[in-house]
Amino acid sequence: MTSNQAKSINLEVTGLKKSYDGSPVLNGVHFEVDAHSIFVIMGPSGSGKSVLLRHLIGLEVADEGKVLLNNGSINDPVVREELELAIVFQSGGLLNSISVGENIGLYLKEYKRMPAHEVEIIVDDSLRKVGLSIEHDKYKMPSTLSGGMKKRVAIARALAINPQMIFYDEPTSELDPLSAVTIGKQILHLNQEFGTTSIIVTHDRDLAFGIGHKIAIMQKGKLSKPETPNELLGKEDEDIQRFLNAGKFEDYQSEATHPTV
Amino acid sequence: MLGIDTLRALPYTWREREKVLAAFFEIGNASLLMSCILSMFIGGVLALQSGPVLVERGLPFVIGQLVGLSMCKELGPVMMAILIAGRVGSAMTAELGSMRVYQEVDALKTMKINPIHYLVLPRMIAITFALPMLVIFSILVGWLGGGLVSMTNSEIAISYQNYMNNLRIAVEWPDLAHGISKSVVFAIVIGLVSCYEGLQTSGGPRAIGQAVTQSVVKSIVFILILDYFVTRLFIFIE
Repeated sequence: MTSNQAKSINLEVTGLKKSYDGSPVLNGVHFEVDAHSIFVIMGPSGSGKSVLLRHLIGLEVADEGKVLLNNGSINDPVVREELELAIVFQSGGLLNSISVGENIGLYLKEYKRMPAHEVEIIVDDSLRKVGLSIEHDKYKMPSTLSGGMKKRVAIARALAINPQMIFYDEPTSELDPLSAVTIGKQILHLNQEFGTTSIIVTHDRDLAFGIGHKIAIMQKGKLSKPETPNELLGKEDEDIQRFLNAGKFEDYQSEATHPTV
Repeated sequence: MLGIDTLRALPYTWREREKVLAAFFEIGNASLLMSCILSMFIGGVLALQSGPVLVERGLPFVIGQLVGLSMCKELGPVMMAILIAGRVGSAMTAELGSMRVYQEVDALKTMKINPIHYLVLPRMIAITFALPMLVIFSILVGWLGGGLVSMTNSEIAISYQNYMNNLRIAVEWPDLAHGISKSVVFAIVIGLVSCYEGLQTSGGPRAIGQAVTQSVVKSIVFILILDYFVTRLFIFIE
């Protein structure tokens, strides 16, 4: 691992509550994420996963509760200024008006104010790390990229920040199984190579159980106790088991053999 | 709030100069030809409507004065502001709205890049300089349009030199400053409304369309209301 490992940070969330127009979306969320680990948040659609992620990264402020990064609140501008966080959005969140290379170097150019030649070196390095070509991909515009490529560029952009913690919002959604595995392996590789703490919000059961150190299930605005993949599989909670086992081949087969219409 | 944040961001203008210049040329490129065509016809119509009546009453020398002052103090700034609100303001709102909807603004925030510095400031500075320049073009071309109609229309038939001499008698530097000052106020309004509406967009593509409509309508309403108050202010000062 590199020197980044020493910089990696832990996260503590206590009593997080958020309502929109009177409807509670986060209902007292508590959990902790250890430095250098991969923490996965799973849950059905509409359970509040993405809203939770937006609170973790400081894009929204909770009605109650705290998000602490190395014991400092994420909503404290001084703490936020000191930390290097990165997020890989579900859609990539790439700026469509600038090229792939410019997207990756945006933070370095606009925030760090690094000289252009130094930015170029880091951009090229980040492209290589996610398996993209400097000659072919660096100068493309984001609108010409496939979903998988956009996610890889978004990961490269996150890497260029040299983050202490990376948040991934549905990193394998809209991807074919092969691309999903490639992205999953990259997340794992980055964690193992650089020790960066990773928090993943996903529906993807295989990704969660394949690379997650701890997994927690979000249901109706509440997060279950984080557990290792093996602990979670052996859990006797009916709702969690139904969520984890739904959508298998046999579920469709039983419907196909007994049509209701 | 957006206005105050933009004011606070003003010291970063030099740092954002590349984006300011890009936005400035974009506004100029998008609007210069259209403003000239529009202004030529506004000046022409003004002469066409008023010319025959004034000539009939023995006041042909008033045509140059009328077109000169109208273009300078009212029609140039107001028509250009409305054109820019529709052409540039709508594009600004659509661009920022789409950036907000597709999480590009969130991405900037997570990279600790202030969207006001990166997105709003360059557009505000660019439009504040571009609109007065377009208004100067508009006034000059409008005068030319009025002169051409006065010269070629058989019911008016006054010489171009005569028309311009009369115009020069009536229009003074403070009148030009009046029009340009108005255009600065309008530019700030268009920039603020367009950026605000864009950055407030939430939802999907339909919300972007609604934001654009809101932006154009609000800009035009504010332009017309402010036109009255700025005119009152200048009358008070004069």
